[in-house]
Amino acid sequence: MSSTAVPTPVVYEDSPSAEVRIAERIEADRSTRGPVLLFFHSAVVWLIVGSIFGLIASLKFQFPDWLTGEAWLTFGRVRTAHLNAVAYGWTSMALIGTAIWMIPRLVRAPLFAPSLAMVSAWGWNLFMVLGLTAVLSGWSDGMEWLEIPRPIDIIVALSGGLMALSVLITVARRKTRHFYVSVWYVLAAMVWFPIIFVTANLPLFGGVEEAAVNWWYGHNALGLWITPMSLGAAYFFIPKVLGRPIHSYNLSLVGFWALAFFYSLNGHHHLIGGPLPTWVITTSITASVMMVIPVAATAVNFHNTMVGRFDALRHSPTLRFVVIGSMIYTVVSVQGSIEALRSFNRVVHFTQYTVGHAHLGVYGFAGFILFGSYYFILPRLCDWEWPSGTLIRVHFWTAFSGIVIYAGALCIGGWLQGQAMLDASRPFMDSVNITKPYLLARTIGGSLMVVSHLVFAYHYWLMVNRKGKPRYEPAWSDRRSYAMQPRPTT
Amino acid sequence: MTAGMFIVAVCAVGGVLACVAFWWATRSGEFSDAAEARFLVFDDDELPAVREAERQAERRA
Repeated sequence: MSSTAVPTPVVYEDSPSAEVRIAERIEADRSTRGPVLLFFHSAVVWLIVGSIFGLIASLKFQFPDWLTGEAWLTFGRVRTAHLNAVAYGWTSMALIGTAIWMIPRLVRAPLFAPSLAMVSAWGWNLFMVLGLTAVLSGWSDGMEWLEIPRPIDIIVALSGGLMALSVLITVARRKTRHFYVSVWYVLAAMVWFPIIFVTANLPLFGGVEEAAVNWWYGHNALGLWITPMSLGAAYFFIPKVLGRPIHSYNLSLVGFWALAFFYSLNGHHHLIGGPLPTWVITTSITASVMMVIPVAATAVNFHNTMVGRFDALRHSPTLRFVVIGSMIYTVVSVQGSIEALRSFNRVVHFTQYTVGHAHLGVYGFAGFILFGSYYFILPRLCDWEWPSGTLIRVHFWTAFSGIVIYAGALCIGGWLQGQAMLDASRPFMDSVNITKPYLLARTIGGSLMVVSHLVFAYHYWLMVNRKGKPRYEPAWSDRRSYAMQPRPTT
Repeated sequence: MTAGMFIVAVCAVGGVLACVAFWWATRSGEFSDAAEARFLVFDDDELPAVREAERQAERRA
């Protein structure tokens, strides 16, 4: 005889006592400690590896005969290794670490099967080692953002699946009735990214279709993976550090749905002038312009949350990095909308302008939010304050001045390069020579960023090994107590 | 209709809809069942101070 199973109703406890909530938070942090630290350690290693490859690639513009004797050190491979190391190694692993730390806290449930997330992190590292080895040895799929060969991609698809499974079951076991907006962004990214990654890697497309799928994926790796994960972190840390709820919860949802609707259509503006149907390109340009809506929603919300508290940027490294990253998100998104217009794109396509724009997005926006996340999460995971306020300041100012010089120089140089290329009366070499001073500025800005990463990695090593004097106040704000900065919990 | 006119027309309609959505989002109350959602980012030992600050801000407004 069979019996019909009656599902147990989910009991939500929206107003437990303070003691219960604190106990849940401690349990949540304990469950995420191992996987988060593994993702964070790995991300810092890939940040350094990717930075060195990036600096080598940039220096080759000044010294084109340097490191040309070995095939694996030529520009095409080193530059590709740089992109994959920072996009999939540093940015993605740090975003995942941040997400699996936030989610259990936000849903008041410990991370489901932390061992799954640990296996995922090791798998992701295996993917990175094999992928970079393949790219440097000349084995590549030959599409930007998809260079790592398909057989190796299977490893990251499985690893990401394990991590997503752990997070999704954690959310299913939540003790809260509502989703905070950060949960919306993280869950959506964890659904979207596997779809675009697997689809783009299917061996079904050729010729123009392959190019179309390539840029549909390439832009969505930023728009449906890096952007929502980063915004989820910003929506968490800005209210958290300020001790003030987000200005408008409704507006944050307007931003979420507008991003979901418009960003997925953006990629084909990379193929303006290419052999795609005009309506495909025009739809993409329209969606790119409409991205102003989610960006404005986020900017208005963050600004109104910050109003009257901008002085806090002086005292909280988390807030400084996250707010600057959010401001850069606004700038780079508006820049991207303008760049998608045919009249503008005609000038900057195939120039250094695009390189500057891409770095402003992935590094200035996502990278800065991730640095801020590290500064908040690590003291709570390690029960130890960051040893040196000076090192944090050096990190911030070298990183910030580096990206400003880098992106500013390439946008100006790229514009001049594009105008020279369009002028039929000028020889092509004019468009090359005109970029030389701007490429030197690129190397100077890039060097500053590399210095900032070395300082950050050294400070990170001190932190996780609990070096330096014990502190009972955050190192950054030692000149003035910052009351709203929450204290470590364990 | 040229591609440029199409982009302008869609963006104009979208812009008007966005303004309405922004106005609704910032002026209306929270979703009736999500009033607490925006507080979920705070841990329980932080909440009393946050809610007190909210109440004072409302009184000032």
